[in-house]
Amino acid sequence: MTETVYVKAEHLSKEIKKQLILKDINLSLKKGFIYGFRGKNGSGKTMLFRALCGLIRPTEGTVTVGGATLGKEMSFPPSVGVLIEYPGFLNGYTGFENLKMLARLKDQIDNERIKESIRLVGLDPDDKRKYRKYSLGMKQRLGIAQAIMEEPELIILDEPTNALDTDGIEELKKLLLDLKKENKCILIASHDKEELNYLSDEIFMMENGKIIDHYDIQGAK
Amino acid sequence: MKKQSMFKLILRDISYSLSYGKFKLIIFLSIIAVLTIIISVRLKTFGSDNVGIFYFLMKDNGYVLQLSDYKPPIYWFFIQFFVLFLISDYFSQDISNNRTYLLLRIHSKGKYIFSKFCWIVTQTTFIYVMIFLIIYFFSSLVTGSFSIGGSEYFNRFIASSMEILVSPGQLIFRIFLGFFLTTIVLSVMYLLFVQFIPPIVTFLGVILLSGISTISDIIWLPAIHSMIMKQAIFDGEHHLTLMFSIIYSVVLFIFLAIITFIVFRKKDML
Repeated sequence: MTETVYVKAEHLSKEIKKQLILKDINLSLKKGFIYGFRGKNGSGKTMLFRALCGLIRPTEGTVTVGGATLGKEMSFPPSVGVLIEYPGFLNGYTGFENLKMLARLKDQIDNERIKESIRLVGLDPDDKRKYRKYSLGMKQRLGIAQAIMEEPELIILDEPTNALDTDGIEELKKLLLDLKKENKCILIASHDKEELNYLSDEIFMMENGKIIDHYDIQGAK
Repeated sequence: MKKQSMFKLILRDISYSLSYGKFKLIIFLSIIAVLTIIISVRLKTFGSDNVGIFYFLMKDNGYVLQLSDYKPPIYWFFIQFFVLFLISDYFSQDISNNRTYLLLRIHSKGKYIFSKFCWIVTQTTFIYVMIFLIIYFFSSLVTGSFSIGGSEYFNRFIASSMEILVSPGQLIFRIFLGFFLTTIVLSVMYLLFVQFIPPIVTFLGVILLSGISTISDIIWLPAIHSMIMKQAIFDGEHHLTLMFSIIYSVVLFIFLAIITFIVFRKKDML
């Protein structure tokens, strides 16, 4: 495992419409670890994830990924996969076709890798059903598949267990632990304390845009 | 990102939008086909050919001298608004659901928004080509002639009201060019304002701006350039020439695109 810091937020604050939604956030995140973020709705988890992806610019402070500052040396992290809200998959396409349409933009992976990603989340890549026929759980799984398919260094999943059944949650846990072994830096937001405790190496508690507590999980996994 | 990737982004916009909006587009084109058939049957009794149908379906109400004389150009409204709906609907969907996933793959806000400008032009072209083909096919079928030439109907009812005589082919070209120019300007205007205002409010605002052209003679209104009856060929007083419409609309499109580009690059992706 690489012990150097991969994602670093220093004094990160964000103000929108005169409201401070992220307050002086400091994070040092390494590859090969899973970081859990817990907090109520509106506590700032999703906004923090957006800031770490370069989607919003800090009002104060900086975010660096792989040593380069977002918004200065680069606009977005070079290798990131996210699941923040449902992607706008096309109803008339199969899961594979939807992922292929996204993958074409980067052109980094072949059909086999797309199919493998679909298998990894417990779906059948050869399923001919259109996306409109998918259950909520299947849609969530496909969303996770799009986040991991290009084998990104940084994986950010906002409430990945939403709509997943018990089997789906177990498969996701296994998948994330496998990705951790592949030296990925993984960030997960969830309401579920037990899941986060099981998966995470370190947990950050958020409230009103601030990290109010963080602790290492000992002996998990 | 290579130029090739920019091309892929534009291609993705085209294929995604066609797949996303195909049913709405089919409904719209079907209505155009039905209207064309109904109007063709009606005007055939007056000796109209396909040019007469194009003119009747796409013309506006001209300059309004007194508000009491105002007759809303129903077909003009329908085409104008539905095309704008098809375009703005796709923008709303893509911005709210796909933007994050695309930006993190292409790593460039500039390229994302530039592809939208290219998409506006290609999609608008595609929609108006389809409208042309449908009106041409069904009107020719009903009237019994596929030639776009002069007819007695054209000379009696259309050419007679012209200030500057143009051929039937030129007339159709001018009508479609006007609609095309107006749509690209209003679409980029939508794309700019939707950065700040909710989609439905932006759409209604753009529609309202477009509708004002039917009662106003201000040549700076974008939609006035899609109104053939207000062009100099039909009106000798206001001197609204095709050249002015082209230059003004293209300059306005580029100006709005540059503003949109700057705004989008600075904006947070919430």
